[in-house]
Amino acid sequence: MTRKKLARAVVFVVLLAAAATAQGIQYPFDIDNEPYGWSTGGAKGPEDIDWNGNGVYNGPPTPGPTTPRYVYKRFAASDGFTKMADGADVFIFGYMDITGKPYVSTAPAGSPPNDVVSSAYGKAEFPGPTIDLNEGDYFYLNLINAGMRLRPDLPDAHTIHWHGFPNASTIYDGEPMASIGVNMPMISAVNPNFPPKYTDLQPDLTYFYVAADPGTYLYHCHVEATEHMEMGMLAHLVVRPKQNGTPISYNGKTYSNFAYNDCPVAGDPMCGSTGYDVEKTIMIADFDSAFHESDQLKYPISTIPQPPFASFHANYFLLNGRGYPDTVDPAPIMNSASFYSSNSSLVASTSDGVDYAAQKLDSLITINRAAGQRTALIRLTDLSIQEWTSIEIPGLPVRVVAKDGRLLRSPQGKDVSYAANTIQVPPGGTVDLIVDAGSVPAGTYYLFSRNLDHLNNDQQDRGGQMTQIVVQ
Amino acid sequence: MRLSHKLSLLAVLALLALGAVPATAKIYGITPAAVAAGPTGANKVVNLTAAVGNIATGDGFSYSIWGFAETTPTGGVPIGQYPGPTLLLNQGDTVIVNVTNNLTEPVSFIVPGFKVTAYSYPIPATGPVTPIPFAVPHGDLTMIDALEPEVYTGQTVSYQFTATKPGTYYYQSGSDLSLEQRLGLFGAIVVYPSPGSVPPRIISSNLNAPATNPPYAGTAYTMSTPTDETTAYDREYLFLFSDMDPLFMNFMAQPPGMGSPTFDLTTWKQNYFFINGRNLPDTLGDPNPARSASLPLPNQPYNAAPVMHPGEKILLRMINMGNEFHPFHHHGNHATLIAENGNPLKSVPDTFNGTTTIPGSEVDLSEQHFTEGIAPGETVDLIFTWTGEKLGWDPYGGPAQGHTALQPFESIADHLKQPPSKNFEVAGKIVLAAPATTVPAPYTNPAALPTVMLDPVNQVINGEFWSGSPFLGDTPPANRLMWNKMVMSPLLNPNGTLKPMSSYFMWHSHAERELTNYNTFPGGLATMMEVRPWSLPINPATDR
Repeated sequence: MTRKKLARAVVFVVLLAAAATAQGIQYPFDIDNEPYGWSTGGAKGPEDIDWNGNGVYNGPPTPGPTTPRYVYKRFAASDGFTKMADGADVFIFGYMDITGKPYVSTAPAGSPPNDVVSSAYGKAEFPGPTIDLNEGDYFYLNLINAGMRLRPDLPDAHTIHWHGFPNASTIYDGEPMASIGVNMPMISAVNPNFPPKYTDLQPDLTYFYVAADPGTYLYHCHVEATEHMEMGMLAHLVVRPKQNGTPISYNGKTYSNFAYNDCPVAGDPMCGSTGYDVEKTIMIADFDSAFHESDQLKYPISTIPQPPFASFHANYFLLNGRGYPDTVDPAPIMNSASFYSSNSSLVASTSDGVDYAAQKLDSLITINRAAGQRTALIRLTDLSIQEWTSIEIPGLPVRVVAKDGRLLRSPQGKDVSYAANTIQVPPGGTVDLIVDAGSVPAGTYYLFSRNLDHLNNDQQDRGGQMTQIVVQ
Repeated sequence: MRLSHKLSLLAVLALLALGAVPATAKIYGITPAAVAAGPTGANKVVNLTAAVGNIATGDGFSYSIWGFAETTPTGGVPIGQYPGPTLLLNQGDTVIVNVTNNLTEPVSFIVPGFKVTAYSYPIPATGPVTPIPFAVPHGDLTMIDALEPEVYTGQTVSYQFTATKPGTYYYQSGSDLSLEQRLGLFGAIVVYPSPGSVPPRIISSNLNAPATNPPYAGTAYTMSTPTDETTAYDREYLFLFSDMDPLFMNFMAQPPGMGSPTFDLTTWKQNYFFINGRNLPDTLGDPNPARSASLPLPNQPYNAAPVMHPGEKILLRMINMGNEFHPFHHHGNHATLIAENGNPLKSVPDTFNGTTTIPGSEVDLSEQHFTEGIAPGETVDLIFTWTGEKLGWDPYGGPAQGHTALQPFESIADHLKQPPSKNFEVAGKIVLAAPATTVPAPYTNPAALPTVMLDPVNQVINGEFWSGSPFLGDTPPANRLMWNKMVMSPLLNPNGTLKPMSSYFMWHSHAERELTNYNTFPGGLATMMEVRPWSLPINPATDR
């Protein structure tokens, strides 16, 4: 028995042996969510939180010089479908943001339930919801494992790995060998073998991080990392610097938004050098559709083969989950969730399978000089499974200002940023670029992968990892 | 148990107070023997043989490789080692490497970064000697397949080079590279700077300075000034990356005249990924075959199991001997890239009046990364540290964990810090100061943790390296024992009792396909870095 199969078998045994006890809230604050175990009903809100233990339920503290901003999110992990630029439907695992959704369905009888599980179940997005924080924020992220619609047999846990966050703790690192992961739910709607819905376990885990350092990071699931990352459990994580909001002039233009704290000493010649007018966060990734198909059809459990790691060969090359020309479509890409129906014999649920916006992030960058815009910050990240990517931006002045969430500045304070036309990004790395369109002709410029085999959507050429920078 | 923790910590502190040096280098390798300088000026000698060997992969298969091994002094038949022996040199050493070839095709010996000269073996003790002239093999430019004079089968050639500068290097066969590098004819070279003092350690005011400031073990590169701390380290570890196509290895292992007569190298696809010649989980195995009853890997003698105390600086020497980029992601913290290809990332120093060098005037060009992109044939050096600062809570726990005093290098700001989050539901309301009864077993007190721990069996999956406690140095709960016995357990003492908890961070290739051993996950180019509490000493002589 292979190690993977062994691990899965063990997990499954653990799941079956688990008793539906241990009720207790697992996240510290609850913003109008109904955690399991709260049977009294009625939406809880900030007024339900007693911050200083004085018996007065007065909500979160007001952020101030010594009081951080508290941010709460609730994400779910499930499966879903994406639509590639050539029209292909590709099965994914992924995250979605269900912050604020009621925990227990309040829908009238006969209507679709509107609880968190139904909100999430089979509605994975790619990339996942962007986490956007300010430096110093206290961030609580509750992750619910909502189960998988097409793969109810998979007992896979899920986690969130805060990729690149400095000084991690193991408990919130999301790497399952050295940490903990969120079990698959034992919900009757997900798997008829399990007890009735709402009365049994809905595993979740609340991660806590202080957004200590500004920068461009990533988050992804680290459970069976090769498989879950290839399947799409990837997303952006951005921390904005404290310097934001303070006007600083650089190169003849005054900015109030910056990528980093670039002004340690007033008067430093590089003060404001990471200022920008427009911003785009772009994730490089790729899909091997044969791998996804293998994961989609592995059912029931007795026929699970090894995921085809050895024969892995990507055929969809994506920026923010889309191939060109979908990358420049500002609208969300609607998928064919009805594709579930074609496998209805495999689906152990009654969920709707209604098409939804699975790929919400475009990669179109527009610099409107008439409106006073001149510079664009491109937060470039790479979560490809195998290859490096070389990104080319011809025709525009590009300066690399940071790598891996760190401003390119020597320890003694000297500027070591550099100009480049082509930028190499390793899988797992991030790079921040400033494009200055101050003195270029108006027109449409391109950002694309110089790995030539990345410029196609499977069999369709003139696609893949390419997007536009429109200078007006 | 907690009492003993405290006693251990006191013992460590006492050692520090006595001026003992707790940290030592931990790169395994061979130190060439010193010899009297002969006519070529060499003062060190090492004997290597290129030979066939067998290795085991992380999924339990066995493959035949070509590797260098130390020539058996007794004349026995050497077995190829993967990778070859790491050569530990001092700056200025002039080394003769006598290479004997037990393979079926010529090999040679090159060291990118240093000039290698070939002499006929043996080099006489006296008298003039002349290098072997380097002629294009076979006298035909179209057939060039070696970068140095070669050693033919059954023969020995003396290669000599001078390690003129410190840093991380490698040697490899310079013959038929496309084939011989894929088969494993390479090894690491570490060159230490000329002995000197170490710089004083500067401890950030954010961190708790230990009673005695432990001296560094060394510096990776020559210091610019007596206080140049940029390349100083407490421990050092080697990460030599390589990759392998099992189909190609099977082809090469065919008996002559059997199987396919040719292999199309354009179809070569790596499906095994190694650190120091091993895949996960063997990267965590014992490096000493004599001690390793459960993991006999005699031809893969080097593990990759970094361990450190909080606040220590560890030097990571990385070499990519593979055929692909291997982006290496180190969980836990950023690392500072201090050198590439044996060259410190510093500019040329300024000069005074164009002649006198101004000490310390170099621009520090180091970068902080969380993923190291390393090209094939490249070496990089990094400094990594972890203290757990800026978490906003105390990763060392609180009084319930037997921890009230600041530990060495602990973040002062987060000490005993409890974010306003220890909230529990009571009668439909969230309150602070939870009753102890709401804490599920086995957790005793989550006071220092910003979220409430749930039942560890029903709701969360426990990892093999997760002791069951989020706190560094906390004693793992007793019910971790059964789980850990199912898998390899670094958490267990040899007698089966549980160690106090270390924090583990996965260090791995972020080309995630490389976390597999030929279709089996997990495996490949990965290991677990251990942050061990100061209460538990690190002893390179007896540690794994």
